[in-house]
Amino acid sequence: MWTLIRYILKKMALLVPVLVGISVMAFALGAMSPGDPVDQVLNPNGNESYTREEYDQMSARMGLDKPVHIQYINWLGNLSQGDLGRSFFTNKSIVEQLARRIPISARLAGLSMIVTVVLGVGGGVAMAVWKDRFLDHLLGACSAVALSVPGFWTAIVLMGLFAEKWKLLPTSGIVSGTGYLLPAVTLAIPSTGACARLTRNAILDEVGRQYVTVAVSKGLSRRQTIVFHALGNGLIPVVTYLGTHMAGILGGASIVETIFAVPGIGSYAISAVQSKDYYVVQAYVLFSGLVYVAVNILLDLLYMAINPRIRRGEAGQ
Amino acid sequence: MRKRFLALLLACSAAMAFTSGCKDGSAPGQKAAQTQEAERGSAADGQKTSREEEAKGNPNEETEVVIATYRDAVQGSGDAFYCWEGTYVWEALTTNNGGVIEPWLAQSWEHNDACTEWTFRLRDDAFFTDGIQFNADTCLENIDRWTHGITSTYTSLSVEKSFPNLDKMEKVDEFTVKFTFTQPITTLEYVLSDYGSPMFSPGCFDKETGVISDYAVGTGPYKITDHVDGEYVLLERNDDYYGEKGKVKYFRIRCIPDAQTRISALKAGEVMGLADNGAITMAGAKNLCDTDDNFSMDSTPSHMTEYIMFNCNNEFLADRRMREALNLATDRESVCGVLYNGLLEPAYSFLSAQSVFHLDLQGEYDLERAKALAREVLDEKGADHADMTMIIRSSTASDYNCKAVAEYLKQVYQELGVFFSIEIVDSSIYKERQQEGSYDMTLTVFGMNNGDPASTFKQYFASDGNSNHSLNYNYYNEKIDELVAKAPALADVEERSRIYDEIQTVLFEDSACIPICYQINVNIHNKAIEHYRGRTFGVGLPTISWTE
Repeated sequence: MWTLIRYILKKMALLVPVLVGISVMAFALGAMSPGDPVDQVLNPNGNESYTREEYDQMSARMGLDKPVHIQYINWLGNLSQGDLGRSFFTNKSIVEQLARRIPISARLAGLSMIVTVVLGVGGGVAMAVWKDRFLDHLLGACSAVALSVPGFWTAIVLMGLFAEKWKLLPTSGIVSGTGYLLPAVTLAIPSTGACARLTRNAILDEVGRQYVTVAVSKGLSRRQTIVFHALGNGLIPVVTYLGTHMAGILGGASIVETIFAVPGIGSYAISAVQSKDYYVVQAYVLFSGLVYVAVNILLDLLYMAINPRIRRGEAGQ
Repeated sequence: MRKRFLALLLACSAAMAFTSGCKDGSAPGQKAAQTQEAERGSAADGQKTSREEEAKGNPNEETEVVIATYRDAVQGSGDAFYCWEGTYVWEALTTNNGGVIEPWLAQSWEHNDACTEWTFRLRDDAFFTDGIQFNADTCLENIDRWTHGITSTYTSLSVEKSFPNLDKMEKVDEFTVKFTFTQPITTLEYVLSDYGSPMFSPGCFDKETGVISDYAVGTGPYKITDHVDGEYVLLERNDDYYGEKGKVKYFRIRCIPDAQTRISALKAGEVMGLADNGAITMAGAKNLCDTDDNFSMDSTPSHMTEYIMFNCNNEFLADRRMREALNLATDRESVCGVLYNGLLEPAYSFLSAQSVFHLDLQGEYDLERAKALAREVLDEKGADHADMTMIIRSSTASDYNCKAVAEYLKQVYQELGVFFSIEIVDSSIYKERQQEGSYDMTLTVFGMNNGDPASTFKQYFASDGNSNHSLNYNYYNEKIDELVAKAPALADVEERSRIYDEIQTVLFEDSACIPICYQINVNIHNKAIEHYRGRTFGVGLPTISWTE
């Protein structure tokens, strides 16, 4: 147990420079992006004029009249108090917006993950069990199609069938829980294809190993060997893929969220980028960076749980 | 260990399944809306979802009408206007109805000969939906609210903008207010129209900051009963409204940012109509109506006009003959007839046909003369051809058919020896390019800031005009400077109108810009509702009703 705690603490300590790097990147990306936020606020419809004095006043009010490094320090100071500022454009609290939108993106990511795990891992196992049989070829073809079809096309097709034609699901919005289904499936389709192929190959790699031969020689069927022995050991690349996939969606599936009018992190980021809402862009980059870091730590812990060799290796160190 | 891992995996799956099934219960009133949505079922029976399943009778009283827009109709507390005028929640002192300024919360107004003292007589029968009466005190409190510098995504709101050179404002009696200015202002009723003077109940905003604390409360025919940020706003009819009351009791305005999804929602029967500029392209609306009998299209004139604006720092475009050549080579009839399906009218005057000051000028299409003029300029400069860049804002390109228009013009102008590349850039880069002057032409769509064109003329064409400088149009015409300076001081509308006519004529003759076509608002709706008519801002909610 102590070993595990020490391992986690070590990982946490390594996080400090990573977090500093993320904060610098987040701030710099916002500050360096093209466009002038002061102009955006004073001239929202691109059709209004303002005086130099009005510009300077607004710039001072937004804190943009100070040198960039001072702006960064102020931003960090506010950040340490949990204040990410207010959107320049809508004047809404960014923390409140994130608090409202993160659970929405998390639900979307969760549902998409369930579809991916069930169909992807299940399909991969089936392909491995029935290797070179009809099912393997069929699922292989399906996964290739799933991988190659662009998300926006899938969204249009699903919307056309399930909402316009059969009227089974809403086209957009998440007022009802069913509103999550189409975007989640749209997000899951390419990752399911990738996950199935990854699982199949990982399992088949394990099948050639000695311990599997021993298991088979002891009388276990191929299916039992794969499900109870090879699958667990072959899961590491799959878990890595699923983790980064989850982080990607949690960090905002911008296009899918916009298409399905899901008010999550991704659609928030898109509108912020369009309106040069640079505090929001900074908050978004920071958040998505943190999500990747958190997911990587979780993955490390999962590796330890899944693979005893890693656990022993870490303990040994 | 393996069992433990499998148990962990199962637990994670269960947790995710649980969270996925959850609804967002954070917003007030959302649960009720969710119930309604659930009741709506799969939209199989179209959009006529009863708010109370058992209730039978007049659908206008019981069944909400859902309309989709591309942006949230409610910007919320941080915004000076809180919500779009098209929600019919708040009202202003005056309104611009197709270029004509009409009374709204102000019944009448008058000013002294010098135009330095303006007196507004307010309605005595208007009440905010929280029960507070609209009167001189609440009017002045609202104007005081504009001093707090609250920004907006719609347009700016400030005392300096609505009441330039204001010296004092005072209550004359319960329903009369008087404004005194240090400089004459001849067009105050125009400046105050619509977004120039929104009135909210003093009970809904903080007196110190001017920020609206909860839902905005206005005097309009509808009131906000529920809003979920980025998703929808629920409006309920104000049964105590002083004017003609809305026909439908409940409206839900949904925010659907993606254009294709909006059309799908319309086809699926989830929404009954689309509203707001750019909600659907003309071609999209026409195509939908041609292929499906359930939909009807209505177009209303818009105050927006499509223009080519020049950067006159370009050595070729600085020459009037080259601008005239491009103007003559622009076949507006073809643009309107082919690229806009015959729905738009060709434009020659700078001011839209929706402006009361619009001058009906008629130009011509003469490619041969255009070629000769362009050749003259190119020869004088010793150039075989001119290379230029046209920039277009990406949102303009998607909301209107600007990309096709630009492609068409590119082919035509090539015949004059003017070769331009088209660059479609996002809003922030577009502004940056304009401010840097790194463009030669821009294809753009805009309207006037308010009903009086004086500020618009000055802004775009006066040598000290803000946009003329900052956006690098760099246009200079001594005559325009003189006329633009003269107009604001003229109290007599007829006299001012003559000046505006002259300005439009000079701009036309000088080819200061190329107006291409006067835009329209395309309003598409399901025939299950009727009287769906476009207005300057959105659609007229009060007149809409379910079709009997």
